[in-house]
Amino acid sequence: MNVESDNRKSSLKLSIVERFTFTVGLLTMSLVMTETPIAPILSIVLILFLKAERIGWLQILRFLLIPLVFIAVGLISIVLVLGVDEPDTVFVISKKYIPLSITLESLRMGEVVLWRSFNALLSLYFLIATTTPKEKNLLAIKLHLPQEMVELGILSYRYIQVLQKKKEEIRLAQQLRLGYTSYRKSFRSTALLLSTVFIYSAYAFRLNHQALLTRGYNGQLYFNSENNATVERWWLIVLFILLGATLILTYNYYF
Amino acid sequence: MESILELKNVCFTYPRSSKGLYNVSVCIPEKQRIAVLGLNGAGKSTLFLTLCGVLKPKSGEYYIDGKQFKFTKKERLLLGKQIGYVFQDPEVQLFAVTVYDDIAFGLQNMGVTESEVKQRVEKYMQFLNITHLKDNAPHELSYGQKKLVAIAGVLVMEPKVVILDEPFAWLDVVQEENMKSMLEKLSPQGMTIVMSTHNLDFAKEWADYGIVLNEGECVEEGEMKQLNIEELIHANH
Ligand SMILES: Nc1ncnc2c1ncn2[C@@H]1O[C@H](COP(=O)(O)OP(=O)(O)O)[C@@H](O)[C@H]1O
Ligand SMILES: [Mg+2]
Repeated sequence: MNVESDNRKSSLKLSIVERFTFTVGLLTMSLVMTETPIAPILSIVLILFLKAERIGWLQILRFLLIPLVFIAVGLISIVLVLGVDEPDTVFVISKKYIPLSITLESLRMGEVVLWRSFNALLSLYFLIATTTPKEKNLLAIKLHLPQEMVELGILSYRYIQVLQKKKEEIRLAQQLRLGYTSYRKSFRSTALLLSTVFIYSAYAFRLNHQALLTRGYNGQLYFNSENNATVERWWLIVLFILLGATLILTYNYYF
Repeated sequence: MESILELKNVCFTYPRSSKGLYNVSVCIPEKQRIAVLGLNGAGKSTLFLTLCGVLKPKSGEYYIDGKQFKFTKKERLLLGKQIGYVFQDPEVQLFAVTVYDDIAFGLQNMGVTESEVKQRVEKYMQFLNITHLKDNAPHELSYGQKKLVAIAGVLVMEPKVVILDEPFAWLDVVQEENMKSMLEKLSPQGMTIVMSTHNLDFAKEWADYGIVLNEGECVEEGEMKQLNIEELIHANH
């Protein structure tokens, strides 16, 4: 497959490998940072990245629209609590026929899910929008709205859940073995946690791909850089990982 | 009989679910072998996660060595020194790059010197017959091997209480025999061992003390010899 010049080509001039690393890094950060005020800051950074790639507001909105509808529906079911007698109830919607209320706990859960999905979507969009149709079929998938788009959304949503579950399991395993008892230890544990989630994401991606193949999927979701003329700028990747890591590592201990 | 862990009238429910623990009061006697029995979904893992300070009860009290445990963040982070937990699925417990690093993780967090870490990790690798796996990556191992590595990572910290969640699950006959002899060797070391299992025959011959759960309630507790477990489990089903 040849890489031809294309007017959609990344204006940050990132190669596909760099972009993939960026995305996985951004995705990991999106999953770890779900609390205010860090999550909104991350959203802003993500949007700045998208703007740096000269992606229009309309395009971003169009991409977010369908998944956000799903997220909104999901959020409603998370935020509403059946029953009105939880101790931390903040708002009672109805008492009579179906007792419904909103509690502090449910609001927090809703907030976490919102930031997690929003930021994860933005990170994925970074990869999808900057990948040319010539490079891979992802954009083609994206342009055939809406069914394939929805399918992709569901796939990535599933993928995010898998990573999220893995992250929580490992964090707990580390906590039970005293991994978060001091600042230095939590620094080390979080670094280990991130590398495991990173490795696991590649593993899960492969499994997913195999599962797709067994169901007759013949499109390409893989990124190969064989014919890519750009030279990987490793310092950029390292710089990004360092920046992200510093943020995440400081974060995990305090919250 | 001294009890090292004690739950008093503990209630816990999972968010958006009616499942959990209902008014559970149990004692874990010190330096004994305790079997926790119950059907799938009876609440065994939930009980263990409460004992490890992971799940915070809605009400009730928890005493460790007679001292009340308040489930503050600080207390929870430090509880691993006293209580070790081996998950049912080792897949969720291993994360380091090599088997050695994974086993050493907890010890290093305890501030033990590097030479002692090495010595203790080697001791427990030998104990569990996994020395040859030292440099392997945990995700390359077979299921039974992963299970042993997960156990080593907890034992090496030499906690007072070791909790094993269904250690026999998904093991083949040979691995099951190995696990049994490992459990036999462990007791004389003065640890309190808590284990959940479906293997009633093994529980009867191995355990000193039994706790029977059913649908989130503790229906029977006491000396193993005096429990009539078959009847209890069938009666409740
Ligand atoms: N995270 C969870 N959220 C909601 N319900 C749960 C969760 N974990 C377990 N349960 C429910 O709690 C009950 C007890 O589960 P568990 O303690 O895992 O049982 P056991 O280990 O005895 O098989 C089950 O009915 C299970 O469905
Ligand atoms: Mg269980």
